[in-house]
Amino acid sequence: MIQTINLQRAFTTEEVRTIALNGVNLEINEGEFVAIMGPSGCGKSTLLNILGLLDAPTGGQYLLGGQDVTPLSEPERDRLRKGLIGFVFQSFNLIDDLSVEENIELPLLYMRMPKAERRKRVEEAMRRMDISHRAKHFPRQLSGGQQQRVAIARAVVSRPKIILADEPTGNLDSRNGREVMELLSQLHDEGATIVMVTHSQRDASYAQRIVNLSDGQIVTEVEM
Amino acid sequence: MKQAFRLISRMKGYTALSLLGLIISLSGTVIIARYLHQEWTIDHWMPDRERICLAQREEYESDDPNANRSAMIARKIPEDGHPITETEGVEAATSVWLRSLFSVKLGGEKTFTVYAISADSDFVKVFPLEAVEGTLDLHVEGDAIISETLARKMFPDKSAVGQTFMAENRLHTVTGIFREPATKSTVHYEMVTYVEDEGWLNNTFRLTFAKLKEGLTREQFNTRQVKQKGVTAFSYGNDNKEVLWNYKLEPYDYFLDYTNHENWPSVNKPSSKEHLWMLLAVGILLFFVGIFNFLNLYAVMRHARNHEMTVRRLFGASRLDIFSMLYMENLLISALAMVGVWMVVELTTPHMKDWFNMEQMTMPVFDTVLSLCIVLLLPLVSAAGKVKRSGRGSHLFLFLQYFISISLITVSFYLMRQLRVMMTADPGFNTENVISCLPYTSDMYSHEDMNKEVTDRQLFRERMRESPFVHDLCEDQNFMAEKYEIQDANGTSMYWMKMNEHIQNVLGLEILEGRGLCDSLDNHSNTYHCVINETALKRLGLKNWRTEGIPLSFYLHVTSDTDTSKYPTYQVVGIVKDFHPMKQSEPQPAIFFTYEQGKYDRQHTVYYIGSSEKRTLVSIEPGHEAEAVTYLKKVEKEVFGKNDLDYHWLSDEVKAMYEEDRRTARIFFTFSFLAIAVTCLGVLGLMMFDVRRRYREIALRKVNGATFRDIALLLSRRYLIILAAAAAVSIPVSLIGLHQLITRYYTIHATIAWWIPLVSIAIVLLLCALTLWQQVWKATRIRPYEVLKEN
Repeated sequence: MIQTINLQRAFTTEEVRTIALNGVNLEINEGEFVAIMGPSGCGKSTLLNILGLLDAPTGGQYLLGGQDVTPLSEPERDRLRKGLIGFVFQSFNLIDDLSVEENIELPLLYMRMPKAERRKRVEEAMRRMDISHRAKHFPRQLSGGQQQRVAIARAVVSRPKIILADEPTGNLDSRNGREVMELLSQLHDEGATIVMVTHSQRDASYAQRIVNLSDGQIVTEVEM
Repeated sequence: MKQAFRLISRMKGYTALSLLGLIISLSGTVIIARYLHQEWTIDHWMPDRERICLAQREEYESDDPNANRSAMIARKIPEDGHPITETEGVEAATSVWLRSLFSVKLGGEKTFTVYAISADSDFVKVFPLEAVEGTLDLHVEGDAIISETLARKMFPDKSAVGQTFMAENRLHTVTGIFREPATKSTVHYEMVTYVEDEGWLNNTFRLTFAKLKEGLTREQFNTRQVKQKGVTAFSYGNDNKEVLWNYKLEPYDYFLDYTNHENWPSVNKPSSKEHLWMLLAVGILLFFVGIFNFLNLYAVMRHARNHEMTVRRLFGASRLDIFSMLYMENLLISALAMVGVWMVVELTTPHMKDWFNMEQMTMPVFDTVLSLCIVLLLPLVSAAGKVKRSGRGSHLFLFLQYFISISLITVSFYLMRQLRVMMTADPGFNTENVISCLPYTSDMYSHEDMNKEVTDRQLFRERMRESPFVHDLCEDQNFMAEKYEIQDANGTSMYWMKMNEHIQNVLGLEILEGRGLCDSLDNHSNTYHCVINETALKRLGLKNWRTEGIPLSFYLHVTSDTDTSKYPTYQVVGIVKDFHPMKQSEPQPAIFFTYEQGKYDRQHTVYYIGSSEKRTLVSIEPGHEAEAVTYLKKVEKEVFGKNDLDYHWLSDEVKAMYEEDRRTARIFFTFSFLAIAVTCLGVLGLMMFDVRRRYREIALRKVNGATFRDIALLLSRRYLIILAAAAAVSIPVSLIGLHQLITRYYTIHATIAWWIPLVSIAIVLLLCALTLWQQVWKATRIRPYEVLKEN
């Protein structure tokens, strides 16, 4: 499903060149749940952004579903990402001015899905995440746990094959964190491929494989 | 103040947009405000201007003093006695001669072109000029006083007093320097030369001004004069008829209707009231566009500092503290804007005459007061305003900006269309292939001069008519520039023109009924014949014009061979088809024609206020314009010995009448684009803020699949909705406004074409879309991972 070959990403400013990823070779199969761990600044989020087609590598190759996406332009990456990849962020990243249901509806809107179908999918996602009673509320009116549920609902509403989660429990208390992980685990059980960046050993324990990064390189891979 | 500087440096983008918007709008406003002030304060530099009057004299027969008046410009010291200075109630009087531009020569062949007038020794007793150096009293021929600016220009390195120069082949000496009047003057001059005897003056127009004693009004003076039934009497003509006369004072600027700037460059005709009101409207609208823009952008800056304000309040800042801080920030921005405004005004002032025919003079007091008002009051408004989270205030301001911009451009399109309609409308008389020229000027100071001129003019006419290129010619025609209004005994106003067969030929006047006036039937006729146009016929209400006469309220001619003891009744001999010798915006005039024989005869000269320049109209055979002009120059040289034919085409004279309309349309057009420019700056500022505020949202939308079109729509939707609302309101409002304008100011008018409002909206939409485009493009370039990483 996902394969990176000698993946590299360097950030260059006027004064300094920083290497975030330095020859990452990673293969993730369809339906796999992989946790990426490592100290701050090791390149976890950079790798996730590249996997999510939000960023492009400066070297190496990235094959997604067997297609080499490395040479794709930004609009092409945007098009490919639509409906294929869902994102869950540590800080939820909900749009403040949109209600819960509007936030969830967002990816469907850009997929130009008919309104009735959108409605149906949003209701289903809200029911599944147990937030239907909050449909008309705005993000600021929700607790952290509820916001992350909305974020997960938004990530899954388009039924993506891949869900990328960047420290999804980082801003949650343990109870809410556990609930979120249960939800992700459930999605994985239903066939989703999940790649999760985390600092938490406990969260990582939900994954089938843990990839440890250090200084932009994979140092260990542990099957669970 | 330190914090205010910090704010400016921290929020450079918004500050720059605010400043630019303010500079553009306030520059336009200041330019218009100065011009309006200048026009509305004409002659205010003379504190006693109400007491300064133009002196005329009225004549009537001694045996019927209540009847038959004719008026003429009074001489200060008339040949037939009783100077105006000796008249009761007059404090001082002076004779002033309007002049053409003076060519002044200094040593070393240095030449200056100078606005000059000539006057007698009492000039400064009537006109209170302030002396800067030397004395302003003029005593002997050759004395001259000059303005401070001219003194600096002519004699940059030395005192001008005592210096000499040549003008009109005479040596002049500067006796004094006067300070330029603080306001615009009806008669503008940089130099006044002394004249006692007008005998040597060529090409002049004499005016006598009297200054009344304090407490006496012009009306009181005139009533007193009429009651006295003539201050003096004189006899003239073959039968030594006794004529009485007295002085009549008219307002100071009464002569304006009878002069034009082309002939008398010193004369400043004020702009018409309706045009000034229209300029005021443009100025105010542009001002508001700028202010709304500033308030909007400042609200954005305030939004961006909400957190800072909360912290300040949290740590004890009172409302007054916050207000003071905001006031200082705004004061700094306003002051900086004002510096920019004056730079623009100073840079554009020299070009205002060419661009908009708006000469700008320096008015230090007005300029200072205006600047201080803006700099001190604007911060009060912006600092006191509350910033609402909903952004409704900014929506309203933006709506108003769009509304004003669309309305202004709609009106400017209409004005241009109206101008075209007026200029292409058929005036009803020949304007093509007609030359208006001045082949000679009257320099008659003796019977010999008079006789010579009569002979010369006769020869000129004969020689011109010999040419195969000349269709016909008529003399003493200044009807386009000088309009004489007369009344019948019932008070019906009509314009008076002269007619003979040549005038009829040259102008192509069409006689509908009866006959025109001509040499054979009307020269030396003992009855008063006239022709009137269709409008005059209607207005006078004549049921049978062939038998009813028109009793005039005063004499037009002073002749020795007519019975002047009776009230003159003119017999109508023909009806001429209506034609329009004035601007098409004015109603069709009623016109009353009397015979003019077309040759000089002092006995038949109309004693009426008017310049001595009477133009000759020459009708040219089509296709032979160049040959005709060459021939005309040749005959002028041959007969009058002149070599500098002053001529132009009558069609250009017609076009020149619309100069003010053209200017107003041009100002509307230019300033409406300034308003759009300011609005675009506001939109740019708001959009910048929007994009910045919604960075994360845009990034998230992009993560979730939003395309360029989605982002563009997301960001511009608000602006487009406001624009649509403004367009929906501005169309009916501007159409109603235009309808009012049309019915109030224009007799004939262009139709309000359907495309005018649509094009106006399209222009505003296009320019705003171009402004938005840059920010939309920037927004779609956002890299989501970078933005989301920061959050």
